[in-house]
Amino acid sequence: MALNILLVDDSTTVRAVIARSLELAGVPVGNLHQAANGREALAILGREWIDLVFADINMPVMNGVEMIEKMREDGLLQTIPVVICSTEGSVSRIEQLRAAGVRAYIRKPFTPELLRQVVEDTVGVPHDG
Amino acid sequence: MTVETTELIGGVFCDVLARMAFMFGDPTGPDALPTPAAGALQAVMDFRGERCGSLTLAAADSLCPELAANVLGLEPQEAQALERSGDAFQELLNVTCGHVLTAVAGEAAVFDLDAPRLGRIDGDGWTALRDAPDAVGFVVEGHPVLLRLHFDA
Repeated sequence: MALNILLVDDSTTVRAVIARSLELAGVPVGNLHQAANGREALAILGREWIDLVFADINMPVMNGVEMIEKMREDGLLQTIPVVICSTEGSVSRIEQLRAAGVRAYIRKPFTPELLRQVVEDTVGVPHDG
Repeated sequence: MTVETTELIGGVFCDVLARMAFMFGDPTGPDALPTPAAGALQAVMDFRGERCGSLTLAAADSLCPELAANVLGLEPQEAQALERSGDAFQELLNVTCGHVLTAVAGEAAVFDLDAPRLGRIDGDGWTALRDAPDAVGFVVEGHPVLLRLHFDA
């Protein structure tokens, strides 16, 4: 089963790197959606079926933490696993994110292998073929 | 900034550069770096927390398409590498900043980071950055690069 994935980051480069890493890691991706901030992401989440979200923390308009808080207010959206992909190194902030419901945290830069491991741990995976 | 801090920052930058872009940086005294003839790209990122300040990264224009190509797995001549060179450069600063702050202040410290601001500097701007007492220099794949961690007073 292919996963519908939403990438949320204000950097087009980071979104491209995650997309390429998912491909290199052999994660089967169905529809790949992209948003430049939390508000754009919520709009996509409201109209598309998404299995997994990768989100940055620091973004303009609506940051990753605000986006997660909004998702937790929605009965359906709160079930969608969110993986934070950021440069954040503060242990207490990472703990806060986990307490807010974030399923996993990846610190940039990352490898395709790590990305695959996180996908497997988060949603169980789906192997191609 | 102490010699130890300078070495720490240099090591963090080279590690991030290698893991993110598969490029290698050679720490070099800023005075030994040539001034980029065609100007340079500069990205600045402010941070606030137990200490406030900014991290500045500047590099010769010629480095940026190579950087974007390596990060994205493209050829430097490809249109996407040229289009995304500024964005890739900002992301290199963003990732470096997160790791530098952890290295300098520890994992218990909490910082809020602003989005990087991208701009261009001419020869005078390069010289001013190079001559700052807390600037660190590198040669990356033959291109001059400056990094400056500055704490507000």
